[in-house]
Amino acid sequence: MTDHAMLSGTYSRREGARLTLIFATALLSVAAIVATVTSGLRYPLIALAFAGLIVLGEILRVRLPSGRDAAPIGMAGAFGYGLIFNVSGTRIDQPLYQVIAVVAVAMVAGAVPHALAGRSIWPGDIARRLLLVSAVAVTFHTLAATWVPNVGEDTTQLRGIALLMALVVFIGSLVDACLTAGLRALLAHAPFRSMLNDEMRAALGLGLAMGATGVLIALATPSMHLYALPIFCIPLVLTQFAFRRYAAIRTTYRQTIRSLAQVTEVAGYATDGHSRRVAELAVALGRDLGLDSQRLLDLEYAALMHDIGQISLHDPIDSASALAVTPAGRQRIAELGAEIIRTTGVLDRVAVLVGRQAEPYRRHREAPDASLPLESRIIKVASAYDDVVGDDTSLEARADGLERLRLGMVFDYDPRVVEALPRVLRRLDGRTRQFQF
Amino acid sequence: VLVAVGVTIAVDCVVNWLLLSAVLRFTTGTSILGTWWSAVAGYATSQVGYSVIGLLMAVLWAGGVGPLAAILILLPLLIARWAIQQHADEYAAYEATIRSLVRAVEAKDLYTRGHSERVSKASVLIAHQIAMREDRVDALRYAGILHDVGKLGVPTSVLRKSGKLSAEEFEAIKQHPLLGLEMVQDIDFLAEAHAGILHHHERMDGRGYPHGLVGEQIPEFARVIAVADAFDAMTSTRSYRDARPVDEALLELRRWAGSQFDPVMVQALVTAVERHGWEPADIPEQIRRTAASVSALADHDDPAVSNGAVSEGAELTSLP
Repeated sequence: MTDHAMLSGTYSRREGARLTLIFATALLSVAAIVATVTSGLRYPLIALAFAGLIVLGEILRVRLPSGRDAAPIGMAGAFGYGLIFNVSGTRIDQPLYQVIAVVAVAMVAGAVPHALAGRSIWPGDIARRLLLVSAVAVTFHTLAATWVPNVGEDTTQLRGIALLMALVVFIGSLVDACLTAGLRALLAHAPFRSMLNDEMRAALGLGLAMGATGVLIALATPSMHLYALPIFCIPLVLTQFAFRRYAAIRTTYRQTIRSLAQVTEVAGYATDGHSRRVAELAVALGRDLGLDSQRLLDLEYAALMHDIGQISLHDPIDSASALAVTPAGRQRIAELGAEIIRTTGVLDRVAVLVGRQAEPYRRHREAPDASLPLESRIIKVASAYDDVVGDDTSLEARADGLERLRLGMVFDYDPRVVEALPRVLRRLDGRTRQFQF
Repeated sequence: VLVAVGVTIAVDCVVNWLLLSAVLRFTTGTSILGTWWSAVAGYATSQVGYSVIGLLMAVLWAGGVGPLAAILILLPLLIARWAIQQHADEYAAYEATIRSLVRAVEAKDLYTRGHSERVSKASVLIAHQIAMREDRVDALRYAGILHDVGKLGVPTSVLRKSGKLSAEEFEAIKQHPLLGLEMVQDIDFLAEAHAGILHHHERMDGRGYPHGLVGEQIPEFARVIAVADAFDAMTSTRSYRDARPVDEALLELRRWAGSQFDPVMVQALVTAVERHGWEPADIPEQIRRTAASVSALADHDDPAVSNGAVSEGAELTSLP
C-alpha cells in the first residue's frame, strides 16, 4: 500500500460493534417500555422516586480524573431500583421489564439537559450502563427467587439477601469492566490488557461506591421507606465532590504544564505549537502501542516538556538551533530538560523519559536497548516527525515526514513506533467523530 | 427509626456543644453564645454527617444485614477519602512543578533568581493585610509566581543591555506582560490572575504599560503585584548597584505612591513588613562578581529604571 493510500484511508469499520450495542439496547428498552405501558405501571410512587433520583444523578454527572464522565448517584439509584424487593414491609414484585423501562427512560431523560446545553452525550455509555443494571436486576431476582425462601416477605433475615446483592453487583461490575475494556480495545485499536487496567481501576474506585450505595438503598427501604434514597446518597455526594476536586486539579495541572511548556516557543527556540503537536501525536502513538492511562499521562507531560532543556542553554537562539541538529546537542538538551524536571521532586518518571528521548533505539552492532523506555522512543519519533511536517496537514508533507523517519529506522527510530505512525495519523483525522465508551 | 436517629443526633450535638463551650469558658473565657456559631459552622456539619452514618450502620446491622452493612457504608467514604488524598497529593505536586519551572526560567538570569517567588510572597503579605478572600489570595500567589514569565519572549540582548534603551528596545520590554498572558491564559484556574499578569506594569497616573490604565481601572491583583515587584527589585542586588535596605525601599515606594503605585497597597506592604519582617534576596558574593563581569543589567522592575525609561531620553541614573 502506498503512503497516500495509507494516510487517506477512512476509519469507520470498528464503529460497527458500538452501533450494534446501542441498537440492541434501544430495542430492549423499547420492548420493556411497551410491555410496561400495556400491563400498567406497578408501584408508581416508588418508580417515580427512583426515576427522579436517577434523573438528578444523571444531571449531576461528574468528570473523572481520567477524563471520562460518570453519574454515580444516577447509577446508585438505578442499582437500588433493580435490587429493591420490599418497602416498609410490603413485598415489591414488579416485573423485571418495568425495571428496565423505568431506568432507561430516566437515564435518557437525565441526558436531555446535557444535550440541550450543548455538552456531549455518549449513547454507548448509557447503553452499557443500562445493560449492566438490567443484568444485575435479572440475575439477583432470579437467584433470590430460587435460593431465598419468602424473599420480600421476611425482612428480619437480610444477611443472605445482602450477600447475594453485593456479590451480584460486584461480579456484574467486574464483568462490565471486562466487556467495556474489550469493546474499547476493539474501537481504539488498543491492547486489551491496558484497557482492562483502566476499566478495573474505575470499577474498583467509584464503581464500588456506586454499587455499595445501590445495595444499601435496597436493603434499607424495608425499614426506612423511600427516605433511604436521599439518606444513603449523602456519602456518595461527598465521594462525588471529592472526585470532582481531584479531577479539577488534574485539569489545572495539565493546563499549566501545557502552558509552561510553551516557554521554548515564546523564547523562539521552537516553532509555535511544536510541543502541543508532539504531545498529541505521542499520546496517540502511546495509546496505539498499549500504554495505560497512567503511563499515557507521564508520556504527555514528557512530550510537552521534551524541549524544555533549551532554556538552560546560556546563549539562546543561535546555539540552540545549531545544537539541535547534532546528536550530542540533542542529548545535552534532553539531559538539561530532565534536570529541570527532576527539581520538581514529583515528576521523576517524566524526567527519565525526557532525559532518554535523544538516544537511538539501537547502536551500531548492538541489539536494541531494552532499557530505553518505549515512551522515550515515541517522543523521539513524534518530535522528529513534527520537525519535518509541523502544522502542515497535506498528504505530501506527511509522506515526507514518514519517509524521513523510515530512513532513520536502522538505528535512530524504533520501527514499531514508525510503523504505528500512519495508522495513528489516520485515526487522529477521524477523531472528531469518535465516541467515548 | 428515622425519628429516633434524628433525636439521637440532636441530643449528641447539643451535649457535645455544651461540654465544649464549658471547657472553653473555663480555659479561655469566651462566652457560651459566642462559641455557638463557630461550633455550627466548623464542626457540627461533619459531626452530623458522621453520626448519621454511624447510626444508619447500626440500624442496618441490627436489622439483620450483619457486618456487611459496615463494609457497604464505609466503602463510599473510603473511596472519597482516597480521592481527597489524591487531590492533596496532586495539589502539592502542582505547586512544586510550577515553582521549579519558573525557577528554571529565571535561572538564565542570576540576578532575578528567586524574584518571582519573593514577589509572590510579598503579594500575599499585602493581600492578607487588605483582608483579601482566601481563594483570591491563592490565585494571587500564582499570579505573583508567574508575573514575569513572558520575559522569556523578550530578546536577552535587550533584557541585559547596559545603558539607555532605545524606544524600540523599550517596546520589546513592554511586550512581556502580553507574552506572559498569552502563555498562561489557557489555565482556567488562574482566571483572575490573568489580569494581574497583564497589568502589573500599569501606573496609577496612567503612564504605565501595556494599556495605560489609570487608578482604579487597574485590576486589584495588578496593583498588588506592581508594589511587590518594585519592592523586591529594590531590595535585591543588581549588577549596577547594591541591594537597598528594606526601610529605604519602603520609603521609596511611599514616594511613588499615588503616581506609580496604589497608596493602599503601599501602606499595606509597609504595615505587613513591620509586622512580619522581610527576608530580602540573598545573592552570594561570588555570583555577583562573575555575573557583573558578564553583563550589566538594567532591571525593568526597578522604579528608577522604569521611571527613567518612561521620561523620554532620561539617563538611567543608577547605571554604572
